[in-house]
Amino acid sequence: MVLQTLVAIGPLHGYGIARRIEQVSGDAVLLYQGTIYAALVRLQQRGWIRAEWGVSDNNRRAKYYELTRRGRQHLEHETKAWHRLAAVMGRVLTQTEGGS
Amino acid sequence: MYRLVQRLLAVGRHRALDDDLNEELESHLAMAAEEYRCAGLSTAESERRARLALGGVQRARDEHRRARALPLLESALQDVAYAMRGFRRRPVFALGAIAVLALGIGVNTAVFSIVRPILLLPLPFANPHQLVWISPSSEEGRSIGTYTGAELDELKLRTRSFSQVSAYYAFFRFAPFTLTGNGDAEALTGTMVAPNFFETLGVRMAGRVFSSADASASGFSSTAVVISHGLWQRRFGGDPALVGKTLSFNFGPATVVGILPAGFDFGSVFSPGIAVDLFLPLPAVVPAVWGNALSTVARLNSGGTPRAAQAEVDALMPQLRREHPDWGAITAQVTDLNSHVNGRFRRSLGFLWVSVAMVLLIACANLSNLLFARATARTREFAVRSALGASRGRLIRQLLTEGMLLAIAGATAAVPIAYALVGAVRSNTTLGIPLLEWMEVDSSALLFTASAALVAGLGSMALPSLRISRQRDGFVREQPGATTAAPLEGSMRSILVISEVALTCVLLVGAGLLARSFLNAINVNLGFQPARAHRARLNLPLALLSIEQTVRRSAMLDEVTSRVRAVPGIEAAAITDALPLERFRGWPAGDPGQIYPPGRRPSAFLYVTGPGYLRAMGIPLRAGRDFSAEDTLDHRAVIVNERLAQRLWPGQDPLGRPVVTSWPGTYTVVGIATDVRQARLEEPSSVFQMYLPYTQVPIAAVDLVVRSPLPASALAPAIGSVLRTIDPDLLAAPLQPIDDLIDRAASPRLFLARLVTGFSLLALLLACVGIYSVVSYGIKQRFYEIGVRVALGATRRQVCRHVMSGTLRATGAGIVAGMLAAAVTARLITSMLYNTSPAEPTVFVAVPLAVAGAALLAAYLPARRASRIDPVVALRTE
Repeated sequence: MVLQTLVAIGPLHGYGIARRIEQVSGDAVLLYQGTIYAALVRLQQRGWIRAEWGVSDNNRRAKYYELTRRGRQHLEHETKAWHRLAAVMGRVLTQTEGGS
Repeated sequence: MYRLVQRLLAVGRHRALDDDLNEELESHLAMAAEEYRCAGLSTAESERRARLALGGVQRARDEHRRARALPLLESALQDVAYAMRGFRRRPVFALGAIAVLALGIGVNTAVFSIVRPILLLPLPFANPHQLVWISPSSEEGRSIGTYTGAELDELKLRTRSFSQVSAYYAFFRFAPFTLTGNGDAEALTGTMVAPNFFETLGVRMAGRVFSSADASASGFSSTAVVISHGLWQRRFGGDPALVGKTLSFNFGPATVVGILPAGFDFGSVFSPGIAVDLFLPLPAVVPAVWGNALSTVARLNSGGTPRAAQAEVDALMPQLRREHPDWGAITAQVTDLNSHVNGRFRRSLGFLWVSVAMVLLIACANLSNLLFARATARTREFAVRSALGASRGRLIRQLLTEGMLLAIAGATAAVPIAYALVGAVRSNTTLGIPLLEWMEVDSSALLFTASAALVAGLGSMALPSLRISRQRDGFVREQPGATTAAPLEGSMRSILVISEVALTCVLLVGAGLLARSFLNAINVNLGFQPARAHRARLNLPLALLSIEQTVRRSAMLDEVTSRVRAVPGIEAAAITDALPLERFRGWPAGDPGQIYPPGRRPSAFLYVTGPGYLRAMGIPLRAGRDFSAEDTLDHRAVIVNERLAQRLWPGQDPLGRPVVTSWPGTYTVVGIATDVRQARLEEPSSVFQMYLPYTQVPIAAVDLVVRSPLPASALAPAIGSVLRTIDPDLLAAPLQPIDDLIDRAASPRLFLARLVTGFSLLALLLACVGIYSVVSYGIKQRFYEIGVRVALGATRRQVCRHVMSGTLRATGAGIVAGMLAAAVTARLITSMLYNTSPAEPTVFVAVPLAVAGAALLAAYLPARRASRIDPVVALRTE
């Protein structure tokens, strides 16, 4: 989800990412603020995002995260896999009645 | 995988990463606050809301930390840093523990390296388990374990169990080999080997092995020789072009056809303590006059076993006995070569290993004690940590870390100790223990050290960890002023003391018995007087060695004897070709008028000597006379020892009786000599000995024996100059005291006695350190109570006694237990003792006294301090 956010919006700082995810999922996914940092570190260690200190729009220092090429690839891959799974599940679940 | 690397790298940077996270958190906090402010809330309210929204900061930090690095590794490093700080605060404790471990592990590694080639490794040959030793069972009529050439040929031809059968000349110490030319003449020990000898053992060498073309006629000379690696390095500096060069020896020039590899030392396998440097080929047909002089080594076919070979040989022997009645009751025993070489030492080395393991046990017990005391003293610290949330597991892990750190430090310090000890043993090249140069501290020994350290570290943490885990929440409850430590603790410590003392007693008894055996062995009645006697190896000129030269040779030896006798300070001098405890060979000896079963003529050890030998060696004559000028080829004479006289002519006067032996002629008994210890110090003199004069029998390897009150350093120059005037190359080796023979014969016994004594003294020291620390600890625990006692009027004596009582009781119990155990285990080493009963009273009285005395001292030192406790100070201390 973090990766998707970054794809959509572009490089963003950690707070922004968390808020955006909250908004987009309609508060259905409430990330405990604490876990975002751990998640960001894990993504960094896997080489899917990159971090850099920069200045935010209201002149504050913030750490900005950016998607890397590998991250982009991984995101595409995972998204495809998710869609495939969803399609299969859909097919399986719709043939419960009257199947042969 | 990539992530793992990242996480590893992050371990060291935790402070920087923490700061980074804090900055990020702050910036997010600010942004959140900003958002709320934009929504219209006040600054204070927006900040509060922001903090709420952000949630548990500490939790975020924890999660972050857990994700970014390896928490296990980090906390382990924390433990290590904490432990190091603790050690720095208490250096005496840390150094003491490390010293105890270093000594315990160090001696164990050393002994492991020492026993390894003999107990654990196969012999250093190719496919060593296929190698066997074939020898006749000992019985009258045969020399020790050897065959004649003809017998060996039959064995070779008519058996199928062996892929190779080979032999070497067993009496090689009688072979006079000297390397002459370029430099000083050097007497070498060498032997003759069958052409396939090195091949049978699977030894690969530079150059080539002997071919059948090399075989000489006589055996004692050759045109082709093989030299040892040691000689090659020592004398020729490892000259790579030596193969093919011709060297000059006393028997003539010979070409070096092969050089043995560094890993092969004939002496260390077949004659421990003697360096064999030269090898000649055996004649194709072994001269019958040699008698049975061949030691046999064979290689089994692949898949064969010694037992199967033994069965085949057993079936063959009766046939041979029938076909060759003059061979007597020939037998053959097939043993695997490893048992033959090492079997004699297995028991004593096993005992050595067990005793050093006991030392390690004591060291671990000590360490356990020390750590235990420390753990108890740190109750406060553990209480605080536990209250702050440390789990019991975490605390135990802390203790384990400390134990392991001490063990690692101890193991590291142990390695140089092991090197030193092994080096000292190896430097004793005349030690009669096989495979000496294979004793080294190598990678397997280091692995052993590491395992020992691991076991020691973990084992000694067992008790303290137990203590920690036994505490429930009541860490803080224990006051320093508590008078009674938990009863379990006290009994644990008593058990430690008892076991340490008991093990020490067992070790000391063992050491005492071995030392006693050694002393008994060297004080045995040798039959001759080694004190004030010296010997010098002589090198007869080659021209005089043949049989035809007997007259000239004897004249030269006579001259040597008379001129040496003229040297001031010399009481007696004589020539001999054999010395007791050094080299010996046997010839049959019988009365021609008696009938013996075929091949069963009694065999006697032979000394070819000149007149005055008995006097020079201090061997008393029982009857008759020594050789003199009358004993020429027309009046052949022999001197026999009492035993042989008894055997041949029981109850009758032996003087004047005739004797026939391997050399032609009938010899008349002219003297009876006392029995002399022949092969080993310990063997009773039930052997037969005879002396023949060199005027009548060939002599080749010659020693000059002198008796004088002067020391060797004063005699050597005079004797040397006398000999040089007769022949410049006559002196082949420097003058040496005869006592050396006894020392060399006793060297394995001395070696074992020394090591076990050293280890048991070490154990005693460790046990005393243990007692000392237990008593000190007890005092510390009962500081308050002692103060109360003193305040209430206890005298210093009473305090002393009170403090020592518990430990001394444990010591007493330990001594009793130890002596009982020693009485039992001493029986196990009976075979290693000499003339010493396993219940030797002096040892069994001295050891408990010594241990009790040492323990008393060790307990008294801290108790004395306790008795001086100022009650005011003690009572004030809470």
